[in-house]
Amino acid sequence: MAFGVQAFNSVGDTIFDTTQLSQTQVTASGTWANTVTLARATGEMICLGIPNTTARRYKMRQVTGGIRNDSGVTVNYVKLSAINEQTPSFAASYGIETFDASGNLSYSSNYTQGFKIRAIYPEYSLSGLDSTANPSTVWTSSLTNIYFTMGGCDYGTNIADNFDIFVYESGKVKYANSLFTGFGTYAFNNKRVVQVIEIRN
Amino acid sequence: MPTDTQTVTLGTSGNFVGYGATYGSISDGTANAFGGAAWEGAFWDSVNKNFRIYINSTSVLARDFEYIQFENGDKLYAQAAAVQYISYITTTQFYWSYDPSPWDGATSGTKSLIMEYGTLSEAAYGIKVFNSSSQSILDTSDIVNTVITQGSVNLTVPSGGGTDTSSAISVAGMTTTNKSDIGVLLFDLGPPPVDAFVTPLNITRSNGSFTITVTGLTGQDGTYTINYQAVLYGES
Repeated sequence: MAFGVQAFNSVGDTIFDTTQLSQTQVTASGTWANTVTLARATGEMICLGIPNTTARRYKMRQVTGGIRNDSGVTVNYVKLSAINEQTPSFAASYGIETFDASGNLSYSSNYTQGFKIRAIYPEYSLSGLDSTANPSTVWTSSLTNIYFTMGGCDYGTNIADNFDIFVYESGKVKYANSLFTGFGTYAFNNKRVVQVIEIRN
Repeated sequence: MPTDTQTVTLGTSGNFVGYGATYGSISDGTANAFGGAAWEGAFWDSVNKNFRIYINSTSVLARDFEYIQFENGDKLYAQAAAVQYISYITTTQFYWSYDPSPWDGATSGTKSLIMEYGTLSEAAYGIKVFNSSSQSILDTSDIVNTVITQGSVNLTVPSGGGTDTSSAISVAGMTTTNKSDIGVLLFDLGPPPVDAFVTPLNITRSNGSFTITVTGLTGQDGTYTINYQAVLYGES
């Protein structure tokens, strides 16, 4: 590259690259009440916090204006957004901002919270069932500051039984994309990337 | 974080492909993450579709590594592993559901297996960013999403049900297989999933691009706006 900044972590993964469009940052967080539709700005993704409530599943659906929580309970959420969609408002006398070749903001330290990815499960890498007839485990540690991308699911008509993709059981968050019927349990792979992220502070 | 590279010479025993007590071998065979304990197994079960590693121990080991990575780029994270101490062979088993073969279908020859482990102390190089409260918001040890491209597409389920596929969306560097480096995040869910045999949203990867397909049934006709983001979280 003839200009700009690149930084890589100790195993070569990109953490900073002004030749790309943008970094992402935590732009909002809060609680998401039942039946409420969360609006999203362009480039803004909602991630769910999964409380340690045994057997609780989550039902989210796309409606006009955003994503609606039909889980029957309030859940925690964070929004991640591409920084280039944010208005530069860097008023501090310290910190870092970078811009791409078009002069658009691509990174700013003018955020109070950061995040890091703790696990990435590419599409079709998770199974709704494992050999012991349980959904695949995606997280086993503390749930403090841990959030999950919404990976979508394949089947669900009734909130009480077979929705959504994550379920908490026995100290683990499991991928629960499966269909329960009177004839057995049918598992589905994840059709999109599932990320586990940790809010840093 | 440091990495520990093992070379597995593949062998087979029943369903198992890789290295175990009576088949295959491993080099160097010592687990840096566990103080040099011996690797006693690293194999894929081709019938039950799982991957396991055995580390010699006299009690259950903690998940003192971040992940193991195959030559195909796929990573199995320690936090997702089922852990079990098997006393009669004095080993700790780390177990993941995994399919297809991590050895790309091979049953002989050698394959590399990388374990990233340990916690990063103060790095001698790299970048670290703090907020005004002196809290770290970016660190050299991080894995983050760097956006390559983003946007939205309007996809229409026709009356009576059916599918609609977007035009190819260009992503420099994307291939059909480098899922561990470049991913596609969808911010929307598409039609409600009401049929076990219909996936509302699908992503099809190609070399240099991907497409998004929406599928709906009778009564789900209409236009769905699907926001997407292609992100780089591995090597560029």
